Amino acid sequence: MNGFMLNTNKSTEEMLEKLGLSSTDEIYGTIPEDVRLREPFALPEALGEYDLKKVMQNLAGRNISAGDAVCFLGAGVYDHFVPSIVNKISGYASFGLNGGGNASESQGILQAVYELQIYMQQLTGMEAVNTTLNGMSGALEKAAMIALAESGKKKIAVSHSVNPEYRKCLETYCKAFDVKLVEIGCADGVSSTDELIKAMGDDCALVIVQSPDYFGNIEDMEALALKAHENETLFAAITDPLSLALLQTPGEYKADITIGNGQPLGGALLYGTHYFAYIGVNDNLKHYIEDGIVNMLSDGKFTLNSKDSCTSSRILSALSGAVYISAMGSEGLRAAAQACYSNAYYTFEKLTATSAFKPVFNKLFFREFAVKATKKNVNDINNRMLDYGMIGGVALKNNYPELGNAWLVAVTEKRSADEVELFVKEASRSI
Amino acid sequence: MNKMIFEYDAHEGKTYSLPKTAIDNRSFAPIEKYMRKTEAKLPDLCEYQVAEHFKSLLSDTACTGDKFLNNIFDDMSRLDGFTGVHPYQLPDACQGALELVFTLGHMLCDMFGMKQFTFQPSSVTGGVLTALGIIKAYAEKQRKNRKVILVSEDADEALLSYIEKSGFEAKKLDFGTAELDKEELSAVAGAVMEISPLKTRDLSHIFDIAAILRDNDCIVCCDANKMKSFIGELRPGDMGFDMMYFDVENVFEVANFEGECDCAALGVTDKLSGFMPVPAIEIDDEEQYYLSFDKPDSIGKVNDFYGDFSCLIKTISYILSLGFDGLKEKAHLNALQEKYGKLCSD
Repeated sequence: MNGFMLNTNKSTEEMLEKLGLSSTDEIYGTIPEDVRLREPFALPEALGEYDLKKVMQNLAGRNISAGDAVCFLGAGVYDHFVPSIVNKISGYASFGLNGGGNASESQGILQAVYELQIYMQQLTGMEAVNTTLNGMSGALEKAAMIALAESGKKKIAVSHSVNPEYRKCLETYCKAFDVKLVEIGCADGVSSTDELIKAMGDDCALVIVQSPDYFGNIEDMEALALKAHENETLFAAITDPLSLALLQTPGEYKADITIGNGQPLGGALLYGTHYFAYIGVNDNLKHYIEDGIVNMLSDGKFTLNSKDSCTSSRILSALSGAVYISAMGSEGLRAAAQACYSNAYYTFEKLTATSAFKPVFNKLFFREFAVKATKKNVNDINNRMLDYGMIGGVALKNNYPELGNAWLVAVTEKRSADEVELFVKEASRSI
Repeated sequence: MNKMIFEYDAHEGKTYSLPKTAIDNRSFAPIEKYMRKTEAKLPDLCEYQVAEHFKSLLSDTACTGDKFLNNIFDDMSRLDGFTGVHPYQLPDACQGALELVFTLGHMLCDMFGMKQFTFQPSSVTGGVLTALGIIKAYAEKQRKNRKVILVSEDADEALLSYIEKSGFEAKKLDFGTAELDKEELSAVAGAVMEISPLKTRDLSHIFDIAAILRDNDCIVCCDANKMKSFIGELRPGDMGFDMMYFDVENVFEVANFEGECDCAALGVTDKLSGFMPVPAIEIDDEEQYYLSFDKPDSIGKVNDFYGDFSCLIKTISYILSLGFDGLKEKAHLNALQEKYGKLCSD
């Protein structure tokens, strides 16, 4: 316990003396007598390092980890391969900063974030990218804030095929700030342009569409962006950064804003803990995203634009993202994305070749797809998969009751033919 | 100045390794129309070059400060059984993660006199926003058109701007001396008051004010970001607060550097627990933990997934390492340092 109490400034006695106090107890003398805590609250006795480890390992051991099991679960967070160097360097940086240092004062870390910004500009095709946002809820809030400020309108339209997790955050945000939120209907698992036009009306500040969408389907972003722009509405694309190694960029289809979760770029699953999230815009909107951007000054020094400390939160994960992209390189990223694309189609075809599964949509997809189970409830299938050391997909009926007994399956570059074979065999078994 | 990563010479040959899958690559023909037309200009370097680059970048990160080294907490957050848990796993497959968050919530309830905690809000602004959302939802549920939020005279800009954006009006008061006008209280939805070791003299008055506000059905909220100086001495719940929020790293020293954790904790008493963000973690008769979304009065989801789980692993490790006596001793030292720091800067 004493190891956690390093006090390098002045000894306690000296500080007490200077303050004219005889003990630290006196500081609390003005707390009303009837509320001052007299009985300790319940806590187990303090644990040393070894015993703490035992307790925590026990908890960790009661989870099934994608490190041991074979994971076919995605829906926004994916089990990708992470080269060793990523965690090595982030651990090294974290240790270097250990001791209360400020990441935003480290030139080296700022340079890494600056380089990540350039990587993300390349991947998204947008002119400016901020990579230090607080998760997707922070990114969505930022996108909404830009559109509301830019247009003066108070309505946002979001597609039904956007990740429900994100839509729920938007709902809370819009309710809190009295913004009207409407939904864009879908046809065959992608946003419909007719529904988009209907939803926008003439008072809409922002349209939000995701591609690949929540179902993994590739949306016709070019057509959708065009319709939004004809209506003088800003168009925000939620993108998956790994897919951008292959797929059309928001810059190419003229999105005004793109946001996304950096997790596929070297982030752990970690029960959904935020990695870095990004927002990209073109120069005309750049002033809205300055807070949290790293700039290079004329003398080659780097500086973080920061109004408050919250923008420094994701600096270490931004560093991990920079290392991941550097380690994979343009070819590695493309190859990983191609493997996701190929493996997903391979699995889809194997599953739908059995009588136990049918396609839900007839659309092109990336890394993830929906199938309908014809014989068994997908929750039962998921339970059964656990017995075989496999983590099955998302049961879609909670958020999309209209799709019935549908299953959202993600297949990353990690999945092998053998794993897919076992997965298909056990998932389609009728018992 | 360090070399930019784009200045390294491209490595000849393959620079990456990918898992061997025995699945053939598929033609891009079907998705041709949707593929990117421009090339992403990213470097192709070998691992040696990448390591050299980042090593040179990080050679100057070492900082000196007065925080303890929390390597063990870091290690705990990197246990494979935690890093490999997907947020959508079935409850059966992540009982350890659920138990951890559930247990931490209970520890904080005991520590601070609250009924329920959530860790979903983001740091810095998330706690305030969620608190305002709950105040708003409570007023609506009571069908009361209350628009005023009382704040202290030194309330920061962020708080004031969020109050305005949420459709409320901020009214500044000195909580150490203010006399409340009972007539005006019918317009007050809530109050946000800070507990600080530099203002311990205010505590007795805050205690009295909280009682009046509660009698008039106003929500009394504690900005508990300075709570690290009071653990073991004072519980906001006993002081009459209905709700409290703080950035976890402000109260528990679990971050290696400022801003590392993206996690605010928000606690409420019984009266407000129905309004808390979903999902809540609950336990059934068979002692199985599960996520409960069935909360009709909830303000909804305030973050994607369940907050900064990594920070929660470190926090529970911290609390277990210190125990009650350690936490209290640390609180005394924090209060002393805060007061001493103030003395030196005056």
